[in-house]
Amino acid sequence: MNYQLLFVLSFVLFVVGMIGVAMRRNVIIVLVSLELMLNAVNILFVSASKYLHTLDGQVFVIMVITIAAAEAAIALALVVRLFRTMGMVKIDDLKRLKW
Amino acid sequence: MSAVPSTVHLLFFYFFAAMTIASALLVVLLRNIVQSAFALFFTLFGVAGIYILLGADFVGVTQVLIYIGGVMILIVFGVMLTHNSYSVDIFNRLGTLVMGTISAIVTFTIIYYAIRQVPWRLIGYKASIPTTRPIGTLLMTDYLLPFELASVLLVLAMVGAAYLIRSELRVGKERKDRDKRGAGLERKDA
Repeated sequence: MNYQLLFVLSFVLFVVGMIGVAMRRNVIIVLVSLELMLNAVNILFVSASKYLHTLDGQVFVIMVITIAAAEAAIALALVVRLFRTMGMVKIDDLKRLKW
Repeated sequence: MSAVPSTVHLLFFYFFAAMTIASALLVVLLRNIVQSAFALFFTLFGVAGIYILLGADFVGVTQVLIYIGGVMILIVFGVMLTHNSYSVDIFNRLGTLVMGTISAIVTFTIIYYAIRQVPWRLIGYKASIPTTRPIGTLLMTDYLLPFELASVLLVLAMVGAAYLIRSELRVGKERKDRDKRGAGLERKDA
């Protein structure tokens, strides 16, 4: 098994998340796609940690997981609030916040 | 502990990688949000499997506990709380779809050719040692400040999320009171 395979896996996952962020209209799916991108970066961190024979990459992964959990909590609270205010969770509706 | 044979290792890697990518595609492409949320479960599980294959046992268990046990539950709650009949057709216009696909393919091609340039070593197959203790030592020495900042961030996120939901309840009650008063006035006028 080559490190290249791991990196390709990570980048494929990142690109899938990118497509999700670009294409989907539901705010929750956009958030889920962001989580996919964070997971892709975490795979890269763990592979680099193994490649360099240090554990610092894994400590960073724990930090990233912490921040992802906080982000998910806040973002889903905002989404629920948005749903109660506007009645739907389409990302186009957020344009109304500009004015 | 004896080392795992490399073919078995590779087979497990392909299994988890295929599971991760396939279910990630399902997350992005399925039209039903509830199905997307449950496909995410398999993606996170596949990523945890990859961590454990790489010898990162503590990170793998953390992934299962926090992502699958915490974030997944939050997302399923979010889906259930915001579900209505409008949320089935969720694809954007064709232009956005084309632009998203093009930018994704271009990004992947650039990064893929960049990593092809470097001759990477092969992964060794020796049995991995437990990482919990060294990670704990690192968190308490080199990374003490980020560790404390992360706990402050968690407290802030918890208070913030609770505030967002609570204030909505209060506003809803005020609106209901106002509506009740308005209805009373109307009745008096009539």
